[in-house]
Amino acid sequence: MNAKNSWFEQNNLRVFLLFSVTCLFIYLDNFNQKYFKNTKAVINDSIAYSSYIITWPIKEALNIPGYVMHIVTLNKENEQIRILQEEKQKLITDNKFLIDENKKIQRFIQEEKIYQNETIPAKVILRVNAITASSMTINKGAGDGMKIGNPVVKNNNLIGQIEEVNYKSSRVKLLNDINSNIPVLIGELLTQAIFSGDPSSKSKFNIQYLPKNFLLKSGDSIYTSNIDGILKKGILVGTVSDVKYDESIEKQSYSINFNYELHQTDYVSVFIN
Amino acid sequence: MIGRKNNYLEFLGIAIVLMSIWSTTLFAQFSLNLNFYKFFNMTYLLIYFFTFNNYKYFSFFSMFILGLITDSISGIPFGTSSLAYMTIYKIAVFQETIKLRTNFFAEWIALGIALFIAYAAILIVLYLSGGSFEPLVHIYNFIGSFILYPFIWLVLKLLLIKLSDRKIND
Repeated sequence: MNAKNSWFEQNNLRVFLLFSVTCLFIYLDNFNQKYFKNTKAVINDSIAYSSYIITWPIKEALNIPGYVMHIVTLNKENEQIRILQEEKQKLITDNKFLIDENKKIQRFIQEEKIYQNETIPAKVILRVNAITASSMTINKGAGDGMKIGNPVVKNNNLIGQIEEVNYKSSRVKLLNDINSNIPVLIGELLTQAIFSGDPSSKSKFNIQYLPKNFLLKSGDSIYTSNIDGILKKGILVGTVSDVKYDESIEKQSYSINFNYELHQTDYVSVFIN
Repeated sequence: MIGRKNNYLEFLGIAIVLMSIWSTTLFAQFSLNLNFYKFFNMTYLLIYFFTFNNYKYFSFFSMFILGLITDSISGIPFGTSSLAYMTIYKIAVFQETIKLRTNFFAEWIALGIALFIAYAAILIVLYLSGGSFEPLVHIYNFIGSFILYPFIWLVLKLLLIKLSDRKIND
């Protein structure tokens, strides 16, 4: 047999070996093998940080038009804010109800301080939008107390949950990820449902398992539920808006408003308890 | 000097592929919800193109490493993208060896086969790993990538011809 045509030719052997290693990686990853998990954590950390360093200059360069626009519109915005602040001040001093309301908010902020102690601030180092996943990587890992399932918030709104913990970084599964399913409480009656990511739909989200004949209302707040034993109860997820009822298909359409812009999320807070 | 230019041109292929992998993180920071990633997979097309045109640094091992980088960034099971990249690479190498008997149409059809196998492999891995996925999105992605190839081919050919001309003039 000619050595050149042999199946055991060096090239074929290398191809076979690499395909086998790839299949082994997939197998070990799915079965969460302990040693592979540690190796993967090291690989993930190094790729996340090197990707951050390499893409940082490109991101900054791409942001230059945004910075220029920001400077141009800054004066205009400042003027608008000044007018709004004056109006707000006038309303507060004029209206007793608003003063009481303000005191109530201040009390709530004081209460929130205790709540804040349970969180760790983290910097977003990578954001990913792909057909298989929608996630972000933060610069806090196992050593900082990160655990799988920890809720991640921005402006007191839930943006996702920790999906994978490495040594020096963690991956956050965002709410619009196809694998994201969060137990929630909706509206004044705190009706239970599942808030899931749906990348194929226009709103990118879907509220499932609502009781039959339950109708959403614009302004209904969505809060997390602790029914799964992982999430803390009462974290704001979003607010329902633009509710429309299509009688022909007997179905509601709606949008969800969030208190943050995902693409501008540079820092987040992670609940550690 | 020419040698350095040569290396620079050879490095261009792998650099463009790496940039296409990192583009998922770059596009995610803009408010424009363009969702390019939904309609085609640029990395697959670039790997096929540069392998077919016999670029340096494109090997089974580099495909394996590029796949691991992709999987680490997007958070899918390790090895999934490596499997897809190595499949596309293998078919491109095979097609390249019979280059003398082929034309662009055959190259395009071979890409279609490579993409089909790669997407099927990814869907099988995602199914076995128990994760949710939208088969329709993957089908659209496959069709989009296949249709886009002639445009990518044309742009890259023009770009590379221009760069080669500059190299000769230097």
